[in-house]
Amino acid sequence: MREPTYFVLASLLDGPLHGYAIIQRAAELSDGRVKMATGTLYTALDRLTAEGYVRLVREEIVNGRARRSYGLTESGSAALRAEATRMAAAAELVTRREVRSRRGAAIRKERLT
Amino acid sequence: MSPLERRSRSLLRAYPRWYRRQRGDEMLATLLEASQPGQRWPSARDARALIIGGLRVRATQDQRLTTAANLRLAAQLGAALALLTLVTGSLTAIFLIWVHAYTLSTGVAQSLVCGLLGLAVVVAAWFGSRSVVAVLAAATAAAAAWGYWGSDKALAILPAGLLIMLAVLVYLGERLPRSWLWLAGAWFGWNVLQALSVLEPLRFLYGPLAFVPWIILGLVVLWAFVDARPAMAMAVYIACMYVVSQLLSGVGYGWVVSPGLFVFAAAAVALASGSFWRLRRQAVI
Repeated sequence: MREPTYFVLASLLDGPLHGYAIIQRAAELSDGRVKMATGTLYTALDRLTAEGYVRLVREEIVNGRARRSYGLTESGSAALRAEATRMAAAAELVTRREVRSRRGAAIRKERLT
Repeated sequence: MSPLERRSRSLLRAYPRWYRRQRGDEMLATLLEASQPGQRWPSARDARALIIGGLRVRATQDQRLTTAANLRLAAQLGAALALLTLVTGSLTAIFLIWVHAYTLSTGVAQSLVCGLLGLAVVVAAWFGSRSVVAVLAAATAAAAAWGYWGSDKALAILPAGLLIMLAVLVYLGERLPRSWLWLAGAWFGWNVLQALSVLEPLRFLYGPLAFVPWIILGLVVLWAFVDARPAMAMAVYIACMYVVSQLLSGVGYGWVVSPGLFVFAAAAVALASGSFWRLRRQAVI
């Protein structure tokens, strides 16, 4: 799963959001790394809707224009959880090794002194 | 209507009308909400995303396909283009023989059957069912084996391989999009005109036609920003028609390989790598 897709799904964890709110929330959650252009967002939403990860929840008229809110589906939540677990496992692989090597270095240093 | 709204609306024209009717207002609202106060022009990033997104929808690129499925489709198109070139070469050669001799020998008649059946396979890859493609491919291979295709028997491996590849890919994969027919049509037209440009009334075309494949290649490479599959298909085509065919023609001649082979191999690898990188970006999550 690509990073923007991950953050689009993650932005919907707390409930349905409309287009601009998704862009804002994704930027917020990624510490400003994911700044989606409007065209990119709707390409992603089309794709995620077709895949069944996202669904249209609400449609309202604001200032004379259609505003649609999107929410996560069951399979969208499951895909997001699976990706988070995969990334956590991958991160743990590195951090656990780092801790081990730091501990080893400390022991070696102790022995030398 | 503010200048920003007017300009954003113009950019949204990159999308087809049916899509604008469905999403246009919503996208415009998002664009305006995301803009800075007093902003008169859409940002370069937004403009690029809208143009590429719109062209992608116009290219009827199926967003649900995985990289593997896209690769299968690209290989299918590459094989179809290669087969089309072989078939056109065969059919135009027969036409030129007939023009000069007004007679067709048995061997030429066999080539004619192979050529027509091969052409039917390519057409069926777009319009026919899986079983029709398989039956036609088997019939072409049988006809080719009965006579033999081309002047060199080793070279008959290439069309046979392409027929098998095309039949298997059609059986396994998705249907070739009709939006790619322009590429097959342009390739077919170029091959026919190039072969016939040896005839006196068309001789003036000989020089300009040399640029056509480069123009098509350039368009396909540029189109890779929207859809990388035709560029990947071109890589498959170059690999089949310039690398594999040269290797096969080297059989029995002490594997004498021209330096051009390495140039084509490098071009195919470079095109395939670039397209693969783009394909992964355009594929489903």
